[in-house]
Amino acid sequence: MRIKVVEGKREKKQFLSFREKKYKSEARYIDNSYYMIETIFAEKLHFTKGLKVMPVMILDDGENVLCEAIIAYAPLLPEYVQVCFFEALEGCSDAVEMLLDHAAKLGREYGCKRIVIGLSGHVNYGLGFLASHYDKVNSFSSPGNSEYYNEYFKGLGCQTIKLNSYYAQTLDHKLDRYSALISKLRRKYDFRTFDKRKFEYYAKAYTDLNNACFTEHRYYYHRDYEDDLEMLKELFFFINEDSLYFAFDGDRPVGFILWYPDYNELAKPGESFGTKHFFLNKLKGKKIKTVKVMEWGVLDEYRGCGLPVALVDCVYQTLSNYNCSFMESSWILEENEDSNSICEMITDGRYKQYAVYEKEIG
Amino acid sequence: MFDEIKKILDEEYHITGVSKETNFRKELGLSSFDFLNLICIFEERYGVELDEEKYIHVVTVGELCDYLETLVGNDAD
Repeated sequence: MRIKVVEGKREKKQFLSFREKKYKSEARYIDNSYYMIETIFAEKLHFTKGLKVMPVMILDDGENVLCEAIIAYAPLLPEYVQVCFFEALEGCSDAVEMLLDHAAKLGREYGCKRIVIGLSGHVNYGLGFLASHYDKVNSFSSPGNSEYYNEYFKGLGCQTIKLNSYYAQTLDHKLDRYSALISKLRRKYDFRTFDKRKFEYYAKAYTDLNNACFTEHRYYYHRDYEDDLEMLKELFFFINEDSLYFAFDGDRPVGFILWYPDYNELAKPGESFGTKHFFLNKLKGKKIKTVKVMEWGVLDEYRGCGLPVALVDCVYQTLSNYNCSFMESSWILEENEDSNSICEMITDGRYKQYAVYEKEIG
Repeated sequence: MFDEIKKILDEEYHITGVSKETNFRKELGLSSFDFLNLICIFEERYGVELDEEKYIHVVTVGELCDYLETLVGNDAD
């Protein structure tokens, strides 16, 4: 067994091929990270220019990949060395341990105190491993993995950081209970969709709100305008303007909500999601039943007035154009009591659980 | 005002049998959004705007009753 650092074209191909074969042979989940890894390897992303990226594979004596990950160090998150895009075969705990030891060694060189497993460079690109509902296909941009991934990290003495998601029926939802509140908020604030004609203005508003709302959250670190401009340009290839709503108090953006249809319904388990799926949807017009609420944020001073309810209502109102009947939220850190409490009030309950793992590397 | 509050709790949340000592959260299980919604209902009915700094401290039905009476009374003057 040995570590192979992924540098050349051939190793990058082997790295991608491992996950592609793994997803295909299991045929349980859809790989939403393949394209992202390709662009990281191609060094095309503005976002990764600020990162030290170190992809590695652990090979057996026959040069077969047992596990792999991209180890990353973000200077703006100096406490952690990250193990991103991890994939592994079953029954390879020694290989996983070797990979983590290597990550820890690199982390120590950068002065990191801890290793975090399951963070994809920045929380805006993904966080966590699936830790429940293993029989369900993952929704767009959510992880799908076998249970043994979690067992590996628990077995290696990692601390579990829990994440929750929530679900709701969107045709008969709880928001009717808050109709007077929503009416008041609609009178008081202006709710606008993203406007592609003013792309930079709205992208900046998104970045500013992210930085203002999430700075205190675990793993979040400052985004610059270029990072989000790049991410949103990519995203708006798929989504419509009404997938990103803003709440304005006068001219000031004070909250936002990002959602989109669950595009994974267009792919088959085992596939890597790509633009072909999106175009197939355009051509065949397949109906997507699930809506994925990715994130919302409201400035501190506006949280007490119930603004998140009105933002979610904007999404539900829009859904009449989309024929979606089920809502699934993205992850929420279990330690984020505020957001969990809001979700308890406006959804039908908790849904999938996810987990991130941490370990001290002293 | 107490009767009005009882009526609204019944209409909106099917809650009956409250007293002035009833705690909105602990006994009635109203969430903070339910409470905000209740405030908005009163604002609509009486055409007033309730002060967040004041209603945020309201815990029981009696306290809301007292506050609304003060406000509607002042407004009527």
